[in-house]
Amino acid sequence: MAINCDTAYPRLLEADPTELAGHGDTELAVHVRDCARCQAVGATLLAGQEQLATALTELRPATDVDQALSAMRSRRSTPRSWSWLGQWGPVAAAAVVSGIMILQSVTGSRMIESEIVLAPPTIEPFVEVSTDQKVMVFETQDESAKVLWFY
Amino acid sequence: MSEPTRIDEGVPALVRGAQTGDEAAFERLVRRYYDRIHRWALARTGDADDADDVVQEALVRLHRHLPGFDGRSQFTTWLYQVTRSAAGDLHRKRSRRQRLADKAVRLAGPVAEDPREVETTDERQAAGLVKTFLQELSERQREIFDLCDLQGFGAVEVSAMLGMEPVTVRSHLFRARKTIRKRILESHPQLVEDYGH
Repeated sequence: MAINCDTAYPRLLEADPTELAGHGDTELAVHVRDCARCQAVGATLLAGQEQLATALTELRPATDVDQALSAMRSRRSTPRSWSWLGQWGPVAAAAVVSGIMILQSVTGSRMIESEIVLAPPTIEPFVEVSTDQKVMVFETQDESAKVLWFY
Repeated sequence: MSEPTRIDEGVPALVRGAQTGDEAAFERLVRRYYDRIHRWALARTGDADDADDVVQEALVRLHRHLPGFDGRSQFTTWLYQVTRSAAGDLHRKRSRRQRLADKAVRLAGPVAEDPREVETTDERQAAGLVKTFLQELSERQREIFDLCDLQGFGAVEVSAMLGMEPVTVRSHLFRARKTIRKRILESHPQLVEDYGH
């Protein structure tokens, strides 16, 4: 079924460029071929898009390709700040630990202990019970605590 | 409209050479795609200054990641994704909103006050279209419209480039076309005055 200009107009705003030129068998393309006014709109839209394409092509990069290549090469050869950390960080950490160990073996552990806070040792509970006393031990949700019932 | 297939001729050989460390091949590859990378970057960022920075970053990434390009997709598709990723990272680093606002202020200024800068109607219309393209289309609409309608990539190829469903690509494309084409027709009111809209 043929379409009229009022139906064609909103479609012209979204149509593929080929349809704007009246190519193909779609309702719109057929209408554009047959209607001088819509043909003119289609041609104007195509010309406008061509004009935009040309204008965008003329927006050249500020740096030419030789400058860009040169800048790229210099960026490749210049390590980023902090990039040394990723490369040498583990080596540095290992050196520090080795240094501490060597120092400890030379001077004894006293000096090191004064500087390094050690975790408190685990203290086992010590309970003395007479032989005639019975004891029941209850576990609690806190693994470090037990309830002792002497009876 | 440019033809995307022509630029790809002979590219596989250049890619293979560049992948094996042939600097001359890499350089030829860059020269061939430099303008296109810039165009993609411009469409993606909507800002000429940002586009230049994106191009620079994209070239570094191209050099770094090219050995890993396995040829499963077209080189152009892959390169577009490299450029897009560079643009995305730049976008996150910068306060783009501020930059665009500054740009809008500059563009909105009286262009023709200096007699040496008087433009023809065509130039003024082209400038208006570029401004609409850069400022009124969303980032996604801009890149899809540019790839499909201005650079001539097919919708399926653009879907692959952007990792989007073709139906989504078309939806963005239609919206972009509508915005741009209304702007085009504003300069030709006599053409549309009799339509019943």
